[in-house]
Amino acid sequence: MGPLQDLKVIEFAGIGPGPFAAMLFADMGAEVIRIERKSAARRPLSLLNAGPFDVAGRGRLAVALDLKRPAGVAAALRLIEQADALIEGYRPGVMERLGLGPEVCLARNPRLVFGRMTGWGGRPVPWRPPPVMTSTISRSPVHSMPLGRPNSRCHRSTWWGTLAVAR
Amino acid sequence: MGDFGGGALILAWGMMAAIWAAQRSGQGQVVDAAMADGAALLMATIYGVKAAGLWSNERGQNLLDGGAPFYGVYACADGKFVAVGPIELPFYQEFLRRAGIDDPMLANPYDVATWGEQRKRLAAIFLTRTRDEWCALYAGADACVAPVLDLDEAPQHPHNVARETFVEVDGVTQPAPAPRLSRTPAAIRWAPPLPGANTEAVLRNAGYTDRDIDELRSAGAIE
Repeated sequence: MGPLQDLKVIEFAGIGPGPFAAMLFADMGAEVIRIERKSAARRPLSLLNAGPFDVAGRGRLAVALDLKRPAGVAAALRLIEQADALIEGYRPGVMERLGLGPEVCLARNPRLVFGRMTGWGGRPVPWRPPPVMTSTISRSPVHSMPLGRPNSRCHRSTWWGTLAVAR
Repeated sequence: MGDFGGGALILAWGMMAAIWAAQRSGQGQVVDAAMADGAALLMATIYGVKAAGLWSNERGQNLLDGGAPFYGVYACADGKFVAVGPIELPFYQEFLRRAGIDDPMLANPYDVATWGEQRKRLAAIFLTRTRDEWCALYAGADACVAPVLDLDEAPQHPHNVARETFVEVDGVTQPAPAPRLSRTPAAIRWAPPLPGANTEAVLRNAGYTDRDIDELRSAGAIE
């Protein structure tokens, strides 16, 4: 039996790093409950969707919920209440819009560890610099540059687009 | 990828899992992290796609391994590079439009048979401008073109500056700890110590008296 056999993790289904992280927990014996739409089973196989062959999806308990319905969100919250941790990889703000953001979840379950997988980090930046431990720590100088951010819409969309690769 | 992705991170992860179990059971165990195993684990998702029949075993034939002309790195006129990734058609069309590319051979990005030729043509096009000229051309566009920054440039990129992704400790620029925890954040505690810098403090903390320490020093046990 794995080291994390007493751990319960709720995973909101996604693509790429989130599911891989959830796989790590499942391989270590945690109970990982994956929440997704039933219709996910009907999506065509693609580079971003290996369906029944999805190795990174091994070891899960698959729960189909419609999070657009209040009753679906309520069911998700009930599971979250009983869990130790949550993994989500949606675009920043999506969980909040679904009514499943960290504030809501931590209010229901103060011991919950809420894991957020993003490309560029959430908005607004939630992290404040840690207290300066020694006087030698300083920040690198800011150079002026034209403001431009990485094409984040593109990056996120490349994960969420369904793509059928012709072979 | 081997030492740090498939090695160190997997070791740290496995150890935390085992530490968690030890806290509950009172029993420890051995965590054997081989980089070969960890590196293989990083390929899990790709093995799934391969099992689904959608990943070629040949290098350069797949969407994300440099095979696709619209997903890769291109050299620019000044020897610097851009990373290009407009996988979806609307982004790819914007990518072509901004650069004024109307070559019919480049119109269908998903025609795998012509990928080789498409890559060659795009490579030639990217050599006509500097990296920063390309990025200026694509600024604000949803065309998925981003500069490949070198080690000096990366800490200065506005996104990294805003997130304080890099910090400086004793004059050494380095990445800040990740990931970011909201309640008990990680922190760089001090610069790397020279050998022996903390010998006495650590031993005293472990219960050694000053006399013990002197004896150890006379015996040549501690330096």
